[in-house]
Amino acid sequence: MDTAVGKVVSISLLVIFAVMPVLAPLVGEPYYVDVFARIMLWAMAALGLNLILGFGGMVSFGHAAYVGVGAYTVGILSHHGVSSGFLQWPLAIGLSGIFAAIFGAISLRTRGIYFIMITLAFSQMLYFLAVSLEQYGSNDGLLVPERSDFSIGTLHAGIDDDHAIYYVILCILVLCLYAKSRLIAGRFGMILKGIKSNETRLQALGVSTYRYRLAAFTLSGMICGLSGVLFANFEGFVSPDLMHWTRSGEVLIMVILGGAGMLFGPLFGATVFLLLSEVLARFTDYWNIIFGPILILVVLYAKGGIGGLFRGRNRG
Amino acid sequence: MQRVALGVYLEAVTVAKLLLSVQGLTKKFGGVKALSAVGMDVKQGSIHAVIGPNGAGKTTLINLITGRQRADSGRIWYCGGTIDNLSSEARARHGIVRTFQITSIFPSFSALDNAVLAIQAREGRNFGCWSPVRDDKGIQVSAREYLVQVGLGDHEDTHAAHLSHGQRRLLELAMVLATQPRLLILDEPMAGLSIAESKSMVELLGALKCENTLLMIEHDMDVVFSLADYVTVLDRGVAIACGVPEKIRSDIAVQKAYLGEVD
Repeated sequence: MDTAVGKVVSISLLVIFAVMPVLAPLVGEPYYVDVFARIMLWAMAALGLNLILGFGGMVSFGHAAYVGVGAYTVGILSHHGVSSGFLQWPLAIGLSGIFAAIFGAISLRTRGIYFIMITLAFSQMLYFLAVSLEQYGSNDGLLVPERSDFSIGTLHAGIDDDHAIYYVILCILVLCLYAKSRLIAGRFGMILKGIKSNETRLQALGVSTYRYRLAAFTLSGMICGLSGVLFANFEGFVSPDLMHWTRSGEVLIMVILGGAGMLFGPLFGATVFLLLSEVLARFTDYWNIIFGPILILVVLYAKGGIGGLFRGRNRG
Repeated sequence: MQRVALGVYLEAVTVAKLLLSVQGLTKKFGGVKALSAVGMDVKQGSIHAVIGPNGAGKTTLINLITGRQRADSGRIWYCGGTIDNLSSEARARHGIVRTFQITSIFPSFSALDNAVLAIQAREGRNFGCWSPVRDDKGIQVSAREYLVQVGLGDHEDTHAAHLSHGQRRLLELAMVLATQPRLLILDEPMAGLSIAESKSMVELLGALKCENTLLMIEHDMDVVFSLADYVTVLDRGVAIACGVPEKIRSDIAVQKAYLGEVD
């Protein structure tokens, strides 16, 4: 779907991610390994959101909530000494899916600005739920004592090593990208794109669109949940900040910045968003004053976001 | 009492091979009565035209039949059963598929993918996430056939947004045909077409007659009288006449309400 240039840029970006743990210490900036890991984590959440926003046309303003559900599930289980990844991961992703299905079932009955507001309201509900969990640190957050353990019997398998978790994140991100490329070219993806393009037409052809929108919403919540699982493992710490509404907004901006409806859009968006804020923050404490106008300029003048720059002119 | 009436009705349906029958359809918008007690029978395999001046309630009638809007009272029979409680999507799946007065296609898709999506809509089972639709030979070949049928065979890769107005109307028709409808409803198929385009559209619709049942709203009287087997005339929400074109042409009430302005 993307042009040759877009493909080259996307692959090169993934290669840069792959060599970063080796490259960063060499240039004396080992800290950048963490930055790039976070970029990938947010890219994954943005990828989840892009599924419904970019391909299905649903603007959810509450997707950080599902990142939070995934992260808190891992955090709370680990806090109670349950560190088996075989238990933590499916449970975390499943719970994110259940929350997304319930919230989606209600939100998807509304349209436009109401949909944005109701998804925001649901995510705020979960945010304040997390704040109210005194047992799990309220505002201060919760330490995740150990990373998910994938040992079977005597065969030890964990992701304790910092390089190991980095590459686990990278592999899962690449897998997600691949799975999504299959999905959007498949029957379900066609229906989703059709909903975005002209829902009335699709209904008039006999498609009950609600169930497809709900399935996509749930799936996108689960991808965000997966990103949350990795967050908890990577940071060793979860806090309500992860599901603050500004986080949802940032994920939204990443998708739009990178190019909604493009496979690699979220990766572009997350990379530029986080790197730019990282770099600008080095110059001045008031980096948001520069950052904001840049975002506005991109949205105004680079139609289709960064990914749109690599796209052929003949595409609508 | 009601049961007897139903029995008689069903017999009538079978004898006359009615595909669609509406009885006493009434629809109000606020204080305005868009339709009052409209009745109409559409025979299997016929082309049935609905004509009438602007604001006569033609599009409302279609919206009620397709389930886009709900009637205040009255019943809609289709294939021998009532469909009053079915959603518009369910009616479409049962074969009542329409085109719109303002062409409705998927502008961000290629022409071929428009037809593909229509076939997907007919086939159902659309949760497939793994096999690309492009690799599905069956669906691609069949989608292409529908494009060829309406004369868009050379435009399969063209973005639907880049098609001309006439081509879009043809594309919408191809999509509707791809759902293999039993009752094809056309809302002003000739609107905005050039003389050449509407000539080929008339030929196309005439050719469909053998296998499909068509219900169409049309303003162009030449088209109506050359294509239609039956005509229903609406005027201010009332069906004032119904019958074969020759009878409608000579109907005095119709001439007064509608054609009178011309003669």
